[in-house]
Amino acid sequence: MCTTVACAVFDMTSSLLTRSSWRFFTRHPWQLWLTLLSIALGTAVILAVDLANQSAGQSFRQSVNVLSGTMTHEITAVRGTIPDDFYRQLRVEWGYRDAAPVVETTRERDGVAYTLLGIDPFAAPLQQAAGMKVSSEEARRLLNEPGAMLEVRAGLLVTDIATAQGATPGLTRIELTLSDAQAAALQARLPPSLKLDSFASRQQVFAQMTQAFSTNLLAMSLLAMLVGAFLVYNTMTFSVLQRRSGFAIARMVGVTGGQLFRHLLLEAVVLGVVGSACGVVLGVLLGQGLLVLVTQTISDLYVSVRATDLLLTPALLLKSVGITLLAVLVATLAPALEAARVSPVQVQRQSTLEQAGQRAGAGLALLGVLLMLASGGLIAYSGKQLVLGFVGLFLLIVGYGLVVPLVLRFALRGLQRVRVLQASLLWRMAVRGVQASLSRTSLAIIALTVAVSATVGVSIMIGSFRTSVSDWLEMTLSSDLYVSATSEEASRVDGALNPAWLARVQALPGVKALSTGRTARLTVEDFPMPVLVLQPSTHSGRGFAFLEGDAAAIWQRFLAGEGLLVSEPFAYHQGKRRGDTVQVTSELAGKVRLPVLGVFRDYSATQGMVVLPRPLYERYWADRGISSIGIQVAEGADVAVIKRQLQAWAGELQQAGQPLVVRSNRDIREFSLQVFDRTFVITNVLRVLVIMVAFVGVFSALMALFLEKGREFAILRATGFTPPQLQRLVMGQAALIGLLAGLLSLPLGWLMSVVLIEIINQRSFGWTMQTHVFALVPLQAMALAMVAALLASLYPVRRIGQASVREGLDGR
Amino acid sequence: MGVRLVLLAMLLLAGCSKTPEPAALDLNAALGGVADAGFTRALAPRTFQFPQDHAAHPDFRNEWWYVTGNVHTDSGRQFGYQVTLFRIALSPDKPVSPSAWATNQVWMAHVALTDVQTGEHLHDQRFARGALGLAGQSLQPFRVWLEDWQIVGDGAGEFPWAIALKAKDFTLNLQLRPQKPPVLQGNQGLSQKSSEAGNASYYYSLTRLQTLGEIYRDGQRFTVTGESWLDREWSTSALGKDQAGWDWFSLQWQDGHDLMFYRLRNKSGATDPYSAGKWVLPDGTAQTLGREDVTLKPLRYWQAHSGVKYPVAWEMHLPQQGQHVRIEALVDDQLMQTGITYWEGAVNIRDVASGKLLGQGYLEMSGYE
Repeated sequence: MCTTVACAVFDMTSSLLTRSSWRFFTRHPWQLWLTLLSIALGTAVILAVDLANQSAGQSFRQSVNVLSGTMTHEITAVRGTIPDDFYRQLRVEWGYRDAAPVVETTRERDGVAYTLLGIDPFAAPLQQAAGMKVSSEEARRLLNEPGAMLEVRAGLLVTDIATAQGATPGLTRIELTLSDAQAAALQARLPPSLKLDSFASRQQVFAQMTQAFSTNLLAMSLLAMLVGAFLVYNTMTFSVLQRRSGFAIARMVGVTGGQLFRHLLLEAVVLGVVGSACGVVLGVLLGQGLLVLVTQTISDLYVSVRATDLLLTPALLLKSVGITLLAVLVATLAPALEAARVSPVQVQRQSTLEQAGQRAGAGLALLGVLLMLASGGLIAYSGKQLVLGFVGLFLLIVGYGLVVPLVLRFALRGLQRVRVLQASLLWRMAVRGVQASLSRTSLAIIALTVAVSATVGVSIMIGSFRTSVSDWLEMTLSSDLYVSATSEEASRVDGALNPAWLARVQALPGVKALSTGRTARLTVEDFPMPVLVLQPSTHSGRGFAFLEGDAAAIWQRFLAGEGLLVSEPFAYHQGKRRGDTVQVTSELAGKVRLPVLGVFRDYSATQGMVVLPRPLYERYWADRGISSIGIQVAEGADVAVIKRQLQAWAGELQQAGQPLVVRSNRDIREFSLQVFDRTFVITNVLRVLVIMVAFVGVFSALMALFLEKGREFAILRATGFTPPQLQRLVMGQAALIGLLAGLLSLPLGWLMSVVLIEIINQRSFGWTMQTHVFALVPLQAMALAMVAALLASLYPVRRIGQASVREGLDGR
Repeated sequence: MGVRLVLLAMLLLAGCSKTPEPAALDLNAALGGVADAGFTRALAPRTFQFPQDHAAHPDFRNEWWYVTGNVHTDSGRQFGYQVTLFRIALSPDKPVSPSAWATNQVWMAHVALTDVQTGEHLHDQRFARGALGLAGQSLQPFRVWLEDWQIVGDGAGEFPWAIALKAKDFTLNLQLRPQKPPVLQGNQGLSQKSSEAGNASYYYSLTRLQTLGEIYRDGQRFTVTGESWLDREWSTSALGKDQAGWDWFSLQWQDGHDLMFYRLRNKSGATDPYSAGKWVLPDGTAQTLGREDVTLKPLRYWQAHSGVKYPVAWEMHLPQQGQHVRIEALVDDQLMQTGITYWEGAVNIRDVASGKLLGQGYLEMSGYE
């Protein structure tokens, strides 16, 4: 309990401590700003990634749950579309009146791809049908003006069903509200060409599709958080360590350890609150930018969505601010406890602290090694678990970070012994200087190491990925020109080419060979799956890179129609290998099991795809349509001329309401790589953010360190050092720190790339790739680390040039 | 019948009504506001031909087949019913589109059953587009339908007509056979609704249709007979600026006389000069009634949940016809709470002096606030 006297003493001492804190930060404004900045950046990155992720997830869910939530089931065609008249039969003759027909396509408007939803406003009330706000006036327009479209939500156009259909009859789906009994009854009378599914299962498929993506983003935000926490910890430790002598004096004049401890925690909370408040503002701004990138990626990979408003929920705010405050408090706890516990006399000696720090180094390193071993074990034994893969990756990073201080100590000791360098006094002083201040700098070095290694790891991963995709495109695009009923941009399945086209194209001069493809959505292993039915030309190159087996033999058996090919993601997710069989629900023979002839590398469909030879398809399905034609141009013929002719024909058909796309393999290749690059824009942005956070940390740590050495520099000046010599000393130390961090980041970066490529990518998307090491990556990493460190030394270097020796000696 | 014009006029108004817009989007509001440019208008009397004119006139914006009737079982249990199919064209021409869904015609149906014994009034409504066989009209065989609600005639387009429909709470299976030839309303079938040219409709009635059939409700079957009334009207018109609503009577005397009279109400509550009607003699000949030929006085009001009061009992005086009668609802609450709210219900006719029951009919009231 607090008696009156004790309270008075407490008030007095606490105001004394408050004033001392105030004086410290006003005398070291850089320290204050950098502390706040690193806290703010930490909060901002966590919040921004979370915001973008959640908001994108929201728009994604909206696009999945396209019609209203009251609908429970949907009827789709096993292949193609539902005949229009079936809807009349269902509604009028069978009496299922809670039914709404939907025609869903994509439509380009002003160069932007939209999901176009054609609905019958009379089947289900409009606003319910679209699951969104439509004013009476807009709805009236929709009803009264043929061709009118409403952009009811970003990326989603709603129109009348007739407008959406155009010349192509048939429905994409019929949505229904059914009880379980009704569903069973309907199921029983449905013709075999149609199937009934509950919405729950459809949403599940979509959720699975995007889970990997959001997990990846989450991991990025965690990495930023980890680096941010390192920095906050570093900054807070540093600000306490710098004031050790001040605290010693306070202790001597009667401030108790408990008071000091409480005061430091309070100070941390104030800094944390102010810093994270700025971080929230920064995070919202940043989140807006990220959201655009995230939605772009989702649109490229899955379905067309458009950035909506940010969903700033209290939970998100609490999470980011909470994590930051926790990091700040944890970071303050250790130095505050230490400052409160040690005796006033001891406190004044820097050396004891350094010695203690170095003793702890060995223990930390041991812990680090254990963590890295645990990481390896976890990765090896976590099967297909993506989240555990990430946990493993983080354990690796943290473990590695803990080993860094010990490695640094050995490295510095080693450097001192390098004979050639021992001749240089400045060199010896630089090495010793870094060594002596390890307790304050090692955390900054760890942060820089982790940040730079993330760059290394991600660069290698993206680079390898891009090279693999590029190789794969080279291999897959074996024809010179492609004509298709819809664009390949969205992984959509519909449209049939007019058969007259085939004859027309064949008759073109300069055409050597044709292959045809039919895209369909079939039920494979009870999952709807995009399927390509292929009729290769006799001349065609294979176009497939098989993971194992004799390619020529596989190809012969495929041509003979003996079985099917599956993509690597399909094989991974379904646990299938060459020689296994897969179950396919066919139109003519019900469920059949077909042998897997080979597994091919494919980066196009994350959920996997299946390729059927035409003869096999025609045995089990009645469909004889084609959706695309691949054209091989004879040697000497001009591809451009043929392309122009095809495009002229496509123009005619476009007017007849049969959209058609003609593209050369180069177009497709370029477009695919463009999409690829766009997909990784967000990754690159996040990488830059992580670097920025680390940079600010290193900057603040080094600058504080050099500024603190003002007195030491003054003594050196008094003993005959010139300012340029001192400046070289400081820059040398900075460069040394940068060099060490850069070098240390390389092994970690490489390890990260291995985990990203072999574990994370496969578990996320089911595909594997060759690791490509790029010579530039380590050079970039070294440059990045050194530049960060050198930049941090610029301000102190300038100060040295201006400082007066006497003021320095006075400690001013 | 002009009354139904009110319904459609209200469709127009619904978009700008003062009442807060319901959360669910109102198709009625959405269907309103179609500009009349490009549609054919009723400007001069025309020659009616039957059965051809039973069929649709798609050049006009609006059209309806409006059946109301009073039927009863052998034991005397009474029912009133209403079956209405509205055709609404959203544009003068069919859109140029190869899609089977493309149409400019939208259909709306309102059905109701009044169970006089229990005092219940059951009603239901549907919308559908006039495409893909979901809703439409044909002459040979005669058929007007919205999904499985339909009025069907024989192959030549002649009577009898059969009503077959299964609504939410009841089912109707009725056969209609006319007892009198069609009555051309207004001036040889041109029914002028306001001073503006073209603000008129073509309008004929079959004022007396012998009715027999079955009504199902609550798992019970009732075999019924009685009399019905058919109104056919098509137009591209709207209410005059001043006109607020409408009281419409279709009454059948037991002695064989029929009366159609609509009182157009101005916003001030006064009777509009364009109010009109016909007195139909038992032999089918008709006398035109102007506003001054009929005196109407509300006697009793019924208040709906919304607070709106509807006059459910009236005193009607036809001096030239020697009729002074009291017209009263068989059930007070016969409110149609469809997208647009109006009161439409079965009534009986009694002599004011003696209180003797003279006949029955239907009353429609709209535009009350």
